[in-house]
Amino acid sequence: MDHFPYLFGGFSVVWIGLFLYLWSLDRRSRRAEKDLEELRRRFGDG
Amino acid sequence: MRPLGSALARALPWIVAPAMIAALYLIFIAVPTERTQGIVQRIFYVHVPSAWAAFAGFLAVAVASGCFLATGRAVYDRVARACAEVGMVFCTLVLITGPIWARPIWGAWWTWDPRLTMTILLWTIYAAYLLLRAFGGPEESVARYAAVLGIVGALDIPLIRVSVRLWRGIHPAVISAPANEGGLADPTMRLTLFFTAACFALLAAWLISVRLRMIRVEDEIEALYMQRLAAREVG
Repeated sequence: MDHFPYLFGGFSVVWIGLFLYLWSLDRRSRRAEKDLEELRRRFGDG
Repeated sequence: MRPLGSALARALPWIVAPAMIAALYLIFIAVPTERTQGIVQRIFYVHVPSAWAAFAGFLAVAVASGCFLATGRAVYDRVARACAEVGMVFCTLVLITGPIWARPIWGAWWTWDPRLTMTILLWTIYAAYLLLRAFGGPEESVARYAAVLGIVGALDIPLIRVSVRLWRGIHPAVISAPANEGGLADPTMRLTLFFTAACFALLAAWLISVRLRMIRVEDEIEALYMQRLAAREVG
């Protein structure tokens, strides 16, 4: 069990990295959808 | 095709989540501990599938880029952009988990072994690709330059594959090496590796589909701006 911190570190990096990327995708996706709706509304009105 | 494609994309997270839980069961409970490396060898079960997902992503960039250069259709360019970003995520995980495994086994976080050097070169090429897409502007010429870069970058992948034998590096050949040289001795080890690789492939496909949908929205925003700008100039 000497190498347990390395095993824990390796798996933590993978799961935290993947969750962070998923979170960033979700955040950017919501912002892009919101921007598109706002532009459609504004340009449609103009 | 589109409804089938989007139905598949919607189903993917519901397939990936239980599959990942099954993969974790295999990695931490079912698979025996490797005799010479000990528990740290289990990092291989995420390191190697991440590498395969990254390579598949970058190969998809090259294929989509080739199709874009041949046909000029924007859909191929969008696919290439989505695959490049997801490929970079997995390639970054490879470059982080590799040194975490190497420290207790080799006694060093990093060595300039041919396979490691080639992998960092691959990461740099696709980082340049993504920077070009992010800051190069919306012109088609930028997309074409990026497509060439995407194809050239993928030429590094077969070199990474053969580098272990060609230049006799110290990186183990996990699949083909004998058990005492870092290979997989137990059939459960192989099953775990291939099952986790399938899970990572599905995860990558899902991430690409999400990123692709986002790129479509971003392109629509860009088109709306351009349309508005053109209308103003005419007016």
